[in-house]
Amino acid sequence: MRDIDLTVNIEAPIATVWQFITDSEKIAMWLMENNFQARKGAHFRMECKQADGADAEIQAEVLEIKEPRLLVYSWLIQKPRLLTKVRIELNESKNHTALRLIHSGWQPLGNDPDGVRDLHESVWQQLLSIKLPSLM
Amino acid sequence: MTYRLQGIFTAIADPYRREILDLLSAGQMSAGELSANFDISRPAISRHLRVLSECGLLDKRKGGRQLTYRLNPDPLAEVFEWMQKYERFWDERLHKLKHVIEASVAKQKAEDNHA
Repeated sequence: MRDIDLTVNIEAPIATVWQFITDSEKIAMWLMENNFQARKGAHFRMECKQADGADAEIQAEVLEIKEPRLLVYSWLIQKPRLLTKVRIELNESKNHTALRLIHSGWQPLGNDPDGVRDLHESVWQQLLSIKLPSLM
Repeated sequence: MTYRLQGIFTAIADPYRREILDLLSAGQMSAGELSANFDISRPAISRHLRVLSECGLLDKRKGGRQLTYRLNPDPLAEVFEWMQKYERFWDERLHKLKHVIEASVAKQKAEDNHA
């Protein structure tokens, strides 16, 4: 299934943008209340207030952190239960910083206690990549 | 988040059930024809067919003595809608991030000019 892949250009130095994606209080200003720690292997939670009132907590873990360019964390969605991954890449150019966010791992997790199963190139690809766009 | 969506995710999380959907994407089949493609028991196949039917991914039709199954991909559209919501969520949040940072940079500059 297709990743969510978004880029936003921010008129600020890369170090400033890095602070806003790795400092717990600053993350809360644009994303969610959280107890993020900028350290590989750190477990943290995000409080996800949803528009429909169904609050959900995201459980996450820092998988990769390379200041000031790369931050990757796991993102476990409770309902439907899905283990996904958020990757944030920063690239500085003359007068702005490009932030690219890739949210991947949209394969179904289901009830498998071992986590995401390997998906072969069968129905998932076929149905979701070919048939579904026509339904959207 | 609907109960139904969880059901669809659970249904397609199983490799046997995905295989069944895959086979049926080529055309309708009876339970017997489907079973011939698997190394698991007929009752096990029936259970998988029931799970898929319950969330609306299969249509059953009586053809003579046998039930035939046909794929109905419509419920999968819900999966896509849910994902699109997530995409909108990130789009909104990233624009908020841009706004928050740029406002903070502007404020800092103004303070520096005053100093």
